[in-house]
Amino acid sequence: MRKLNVLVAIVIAFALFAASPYLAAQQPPGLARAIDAQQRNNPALLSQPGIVGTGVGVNAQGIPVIRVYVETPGVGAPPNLENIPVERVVTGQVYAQCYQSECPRPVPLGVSTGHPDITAGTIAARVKDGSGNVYALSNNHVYANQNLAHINDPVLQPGAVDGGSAPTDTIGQLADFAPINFSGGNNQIDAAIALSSTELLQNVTFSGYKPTNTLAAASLGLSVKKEGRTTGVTFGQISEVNVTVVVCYAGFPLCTKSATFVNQFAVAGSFSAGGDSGSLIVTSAENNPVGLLFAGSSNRTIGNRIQDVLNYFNVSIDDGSGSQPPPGSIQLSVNGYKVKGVHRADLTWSGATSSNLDIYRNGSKITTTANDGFLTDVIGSRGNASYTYKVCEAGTATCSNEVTINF
Amino acid sequence: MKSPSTSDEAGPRAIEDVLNANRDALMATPGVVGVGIGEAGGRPCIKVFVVDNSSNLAAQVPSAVEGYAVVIEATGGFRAR
Repeated sequence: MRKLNVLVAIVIAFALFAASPYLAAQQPPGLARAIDAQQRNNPALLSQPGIVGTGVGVNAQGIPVIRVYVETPGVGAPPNLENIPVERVVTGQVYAQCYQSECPRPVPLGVSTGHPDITAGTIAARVKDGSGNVYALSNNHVYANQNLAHINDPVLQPGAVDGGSAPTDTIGQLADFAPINFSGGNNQIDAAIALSSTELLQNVTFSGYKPTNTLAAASLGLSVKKEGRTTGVTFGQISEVNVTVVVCYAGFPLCTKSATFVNQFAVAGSFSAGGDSGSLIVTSAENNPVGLLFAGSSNRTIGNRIQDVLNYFNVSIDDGSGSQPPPGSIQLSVNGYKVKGVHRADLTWSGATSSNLDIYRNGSKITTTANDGFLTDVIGSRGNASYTYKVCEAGTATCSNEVTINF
Repeated sequence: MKSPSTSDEAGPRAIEDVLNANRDALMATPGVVGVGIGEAGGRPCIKVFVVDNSSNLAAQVPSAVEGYAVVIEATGGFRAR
């Protein structure tokens, strides 16, 4: 449905272009003919698997061309249509923006989210704990409704004001939050985490950048950016550090509920707006996390220091490392058994990339075999014995784990 | 902190220490919603965030503290976003 809307939009845009007398006067010769050809061929083109859109443009020589947008490099397109040259453009799947609507799962960072009882905020990051659990990070006032939510409450994508409701749009359950002191005491973070999964949550923003696991300290003049539900990707500079600030949480314009925050930093200018709460502030060049956006005024945005947030929950930014075996790592398992009292071992492995593997038993190479994932070693001994196996990519030191079996 | 011997040997206090020492008094001034460390003319300064410039804050806030300029910024009130 989403894909269809985009296609319709592209077709309509070019139809309007063609119909406009003002633009027509400036068109290169033949552009109208290219648009006619595009429209006649659209139904056939768009019915082919892997073709996600079409457009009309001019090539480097100024000649009108039909552009065919394809999902993968393997998808073909005719070299020309009605004598109009065709250019193939690999665009990938085309999705509508989902900053303020439902995103395909797993959802990206930087888009609408929230507890069902609040309007909407932004997903900052995917974070992980020492046990491998992954969480969505946002503000207390986004995921824990200013201390009022209960652990295990659902969190939604999109947030309620953007049409999200449980259980259809649930991407996690509230796991922990830093309570906000509204009674005059000092706060350092407005943060909460919701237990999620890699099936439901990506570690890349909607626009396509991935926050790193290398944190950057907030310093004066540092160039930063954020991606958020309301204002998307914006850039700014840190204008103040060591900030103490009073933040209003209810009763605008006459505030009825406020909290004091210390050790904050400020970004000057129009960096954020309501609904961007929970955005991760990162360095603009390296995507290194700096802070968690949670408040602002007409010309300042306030962030918690990200290190304080991650320390509170004892989590780290999940940049994807460590969640999969590193390239080249080979997983070996061995099952030992006897046939008429004689020892045998079935070896199975995965993750090897070479065509042949060296098989080692007790440190000595016993054979080189095809990388088909399976080998039976007929050891030929009887009685009590212990055998330690590993498999290595042939002629290299790239080896599996060692597995010992005992008889 | 105020001991003459240490301050003589250490020279001027770091701006972080000066801000900490003056933070509560500045925050207690009506119209002040925040304080922090910024830069003015290439030098570190103490920033004071105020709701607006209409109140007569300049008279209530010193223009410098322990050698660091105090710069008033009209930021408006802060809200959770």
